[in-house]
Amino acid sequence: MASTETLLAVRDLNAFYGGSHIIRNAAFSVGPGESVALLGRNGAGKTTLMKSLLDAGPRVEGEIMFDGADIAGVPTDERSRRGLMLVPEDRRIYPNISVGENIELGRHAARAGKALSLKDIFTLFPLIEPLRDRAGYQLSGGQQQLVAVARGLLGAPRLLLLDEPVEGLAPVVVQDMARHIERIRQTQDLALLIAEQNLSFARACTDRVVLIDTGRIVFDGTWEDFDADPGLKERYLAV
Amino acid sequence: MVDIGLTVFNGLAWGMATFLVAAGLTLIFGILHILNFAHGGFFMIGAYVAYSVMLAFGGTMPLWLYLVAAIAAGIAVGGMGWGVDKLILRRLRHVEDAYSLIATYALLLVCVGAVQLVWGLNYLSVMPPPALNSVVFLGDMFMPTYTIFIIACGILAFIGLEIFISHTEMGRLIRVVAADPWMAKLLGLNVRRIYLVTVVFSFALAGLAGGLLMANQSLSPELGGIFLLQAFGVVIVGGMGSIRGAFIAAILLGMIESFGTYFVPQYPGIFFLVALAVILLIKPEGIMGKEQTA
Repeated sequence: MASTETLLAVRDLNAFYGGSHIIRNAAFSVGPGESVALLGRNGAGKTTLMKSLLDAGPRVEGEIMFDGADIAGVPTDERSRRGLMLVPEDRRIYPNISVGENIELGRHAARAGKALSLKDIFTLFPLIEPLRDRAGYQLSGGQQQLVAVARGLLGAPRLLLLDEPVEGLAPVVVQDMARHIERIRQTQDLALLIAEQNLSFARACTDRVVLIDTGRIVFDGTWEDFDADPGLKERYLAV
Repeated sequence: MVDIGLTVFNGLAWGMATFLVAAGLTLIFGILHILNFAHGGFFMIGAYVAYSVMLAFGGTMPLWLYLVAAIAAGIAVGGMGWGVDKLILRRLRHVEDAYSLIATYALLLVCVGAVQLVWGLNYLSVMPPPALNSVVFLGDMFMPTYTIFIIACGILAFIGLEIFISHTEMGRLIRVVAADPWMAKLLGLNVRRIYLVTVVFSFALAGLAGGLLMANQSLSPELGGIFLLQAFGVVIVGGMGSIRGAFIAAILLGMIESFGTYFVPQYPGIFFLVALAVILLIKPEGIMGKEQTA
């Protein structure tokens, strides 16, 4: 059942909000343990593409193979429990429960016997441990982002989707986040798909680049290939 | 002094009877954001089911059987809630509020029709069980034991709901889903099941309230509408979706109604409506506002 070559394979994916056709015939893949950057300008379709993978917003057509199975028609919560976890752009930390309780919610997405412990989480994110009993609404933006990633990791997902994880964060916090993601990659057996506009952060955290523009995938290759064509950055990422 | 004591007692009785009906109504609104017009209909069915259980046991019943009949009504109406969620409410989650109002109002009409078909149009009356059919004297003030029982049931229902929502795992998950169902789904929670549990629980509360309160009034197909208006008032003044707010509002409105009737007895019932309008002018979001859940 499970493929060892491709963890996520997307083909002919189209996504719609009402009558608006947002994602057009997208096709890309992510291998086990691979880290992929999804780059594009604001409004290019990064968030819609990520939500489409979880059936968490737009109406979706096309094929999404995850871990060897077609997940079309599988409900969002079941997709999460199969190991596909999205950390959304706006973090969505529950404001009136504690940080510890927020993180523990991630356990609902765990596959049998696969969840991390809170201790594992505090080892990965030492900054979170002192915040454990603080309410969600008392966190800064950077702290919220760390807690959101920690919550996503608790269920030991196979593919973690991070939607603009450093948007709005101070440069020093961005560096810190890059270090955390590096540590996650070294210690956890999971793949990453990171939607970003921050090129240096994306470069520090990923092996490969998928470029999206007005809902179409316009480039899929290594960072070397991306750097070899300076026009890509000019055409698809310049503001 | 006796008059003031009795007026407070009557206010509490009005408040707790209304809270018993309002509890399920505010719970379902707080979690599903559906204003369930049919709630009064299922409260009425609960009263009729308990009445039928009572008849099956010969028509007179001890207190324990009265409680069993009320619980049976709660279970039966909770089961109906399961069917209503599967058939109707599940389809209303992604449509505009107007559709929910129309659908639940239609369901209320179905409830009234079903009661007319099954139990007929005649007024039926139920005596409280003998253990609750007496009075307690506090000095010169006399208090019917059945009314004391209803006040105690209202307080116990509030405490039970507070414990359930604030201190149990299912209560915590219900709060999480109420606060952000989209994120809850992403975290692997089965939101549909949590909605179903909430609907069944809310309907069971309506049925239980019907069973407990059946001795307090004549049973007729109009029963659903009588309590529904009061319950809506309590839910709105308390702050839509807040159980704590509904409890406070039930006591407040009960006192206003009771003291209003004491001082101006020629206009019974009007003080509830006046208070509703005045409180909403001063605090349109209700006493507890929109209570943050999780």
